[in-house]
Amino acid sequence: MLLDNKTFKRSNEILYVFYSADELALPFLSKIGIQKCIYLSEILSPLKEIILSFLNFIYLHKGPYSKDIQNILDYLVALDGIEVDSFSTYRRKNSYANYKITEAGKSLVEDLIYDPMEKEKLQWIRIVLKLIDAYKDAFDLSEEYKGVDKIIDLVYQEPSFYEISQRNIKGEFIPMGNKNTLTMELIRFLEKAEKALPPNFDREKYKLDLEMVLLVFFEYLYVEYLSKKVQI
Amino acid sequence: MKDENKIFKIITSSTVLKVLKETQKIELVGFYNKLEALLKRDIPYGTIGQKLVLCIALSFKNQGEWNIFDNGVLALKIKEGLLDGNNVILSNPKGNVINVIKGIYINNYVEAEEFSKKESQLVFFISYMEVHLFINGKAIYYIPNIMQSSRAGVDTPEKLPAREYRKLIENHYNRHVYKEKGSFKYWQNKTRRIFICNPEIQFNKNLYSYLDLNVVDGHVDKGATISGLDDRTDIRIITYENGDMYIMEIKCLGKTDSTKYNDDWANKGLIQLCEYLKDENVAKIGILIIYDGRMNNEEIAWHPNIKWHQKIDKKPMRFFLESESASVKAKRIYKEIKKKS
Repeated sequence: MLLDNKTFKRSNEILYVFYSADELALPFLSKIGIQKCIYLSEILSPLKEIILSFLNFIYLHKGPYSKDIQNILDYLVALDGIEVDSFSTYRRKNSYANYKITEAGKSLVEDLIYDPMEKEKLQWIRIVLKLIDAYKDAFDLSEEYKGVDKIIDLVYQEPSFYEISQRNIKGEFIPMGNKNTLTMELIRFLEKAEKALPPNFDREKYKLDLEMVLLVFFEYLYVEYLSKKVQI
Repeated sequence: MKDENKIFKIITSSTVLKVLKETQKIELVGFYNKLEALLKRDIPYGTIGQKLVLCIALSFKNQGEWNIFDNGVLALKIKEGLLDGNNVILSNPKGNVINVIKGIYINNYVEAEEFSKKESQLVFFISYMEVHLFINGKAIYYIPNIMQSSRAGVDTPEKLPAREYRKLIENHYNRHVYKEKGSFKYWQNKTRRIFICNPEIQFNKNLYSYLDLNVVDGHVDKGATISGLDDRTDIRIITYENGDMYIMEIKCLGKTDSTKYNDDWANKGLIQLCEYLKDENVAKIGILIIYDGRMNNEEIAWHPNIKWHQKIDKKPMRFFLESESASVKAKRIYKEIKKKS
């Protein structure tokens, strides 16, 4: 397999997701879950002005999908950075692999983060993973999935994905990065939301730092999910 | 921006954001989410019906023997008598139980608040469907009925804008107050129509929680000070769009074990509201809400010399609190009909 520099960087970032999952004592990440974790880390990354080596995600009915991720997972297994932990089944039909980081993978990450830019990427992914962990067991999420995979219900509500899902064109590219997307519009609004409140509000009290912006973003996805359930 | 009100609602009212602000720990947001799911899943089966306090230790090192979030485990432990005589569970943010504190039984939310001061921790006090959350002696959130509550910002059929305040107050009465059909109990002795202690505080808390969740375009707060003064309003709504303020004053008429409140108390409430409105320039409207626990359902005799402020809703909302069962009521009405004929 020929690997360019970009693929190496992408592999590092995926390894950081597994490293963070291990820190949070998540037993494994499935190939479904990892797609959602990378998608959220990437679509939200302009918030911290982190430059992740962007993957292309397309719209699929079962959520945002990047074919490169599966290739990189295979590559990381071959490198002994991650290993197959177990298999899960979906609707008793399809089975899919669950992966976890190996000791070799962990020491690779610990070497990589000597580079401050890589360390910053790991810190970013760690925060996003913490939020995913905090929401994966929230009330009323679909019972069809288990563990981190349950976050899929919230990813469906992610504004850029949701907009495309209304057109329902399989394979349509989801715009990423610091572009004029609905996700960015929401994030930019959250960063200065307190300024949009009338003067008789204690605006200082409602100022959000980075973690709070991310939390409100996740809470918004959850609120949207619950609202749609009520309507059904 | 689409959904601006929804986002403001999350920013100003969301419990999870309050938890993060107070503790700086995303892990505790996860704990809150899991606990809410556990209670909503298990309470309907009556398994978590006892008074139960959960207290979280912030250490990740302590690995407990069991996890309160594992399916059915907490209910089973309660059934086995784990909490007999004790009701404080010390757990880490993952839900792993470090220990059950021996010799401590927390009876009510006031004790739970005190306990959270001592332990400097996040404390949930759960009593049937009622949930209180304290952090370091500070009350963060109160949910009168977890089964009927949702997250701030969720669209439900009961959501209304602040200008529909009368409808909101009426809906609250019908859903939570009428004949104590919700989890909210306000009679100490229903037959003799005696209120519990401090009924106004209880009505205030209950209405506040309802409005906080169901006012779609404004922030709801309680006990806020009037601009530049020491006076505190019962409940306020401030709209996100232009800052319009709705002030609500709550009065209970009737009797408690020690005191009797009659028409004079309602008149005092009216004057109080007039004073608030005089001092608060941005107020749009003031409404007096009366929960009437007197023996007879009679209109209030408003004192003719009171000058009603121009921003006061001229129709104070009075709810006569039913205490009779349907059969007793039917018997009485029929007796009256017969007497008339």
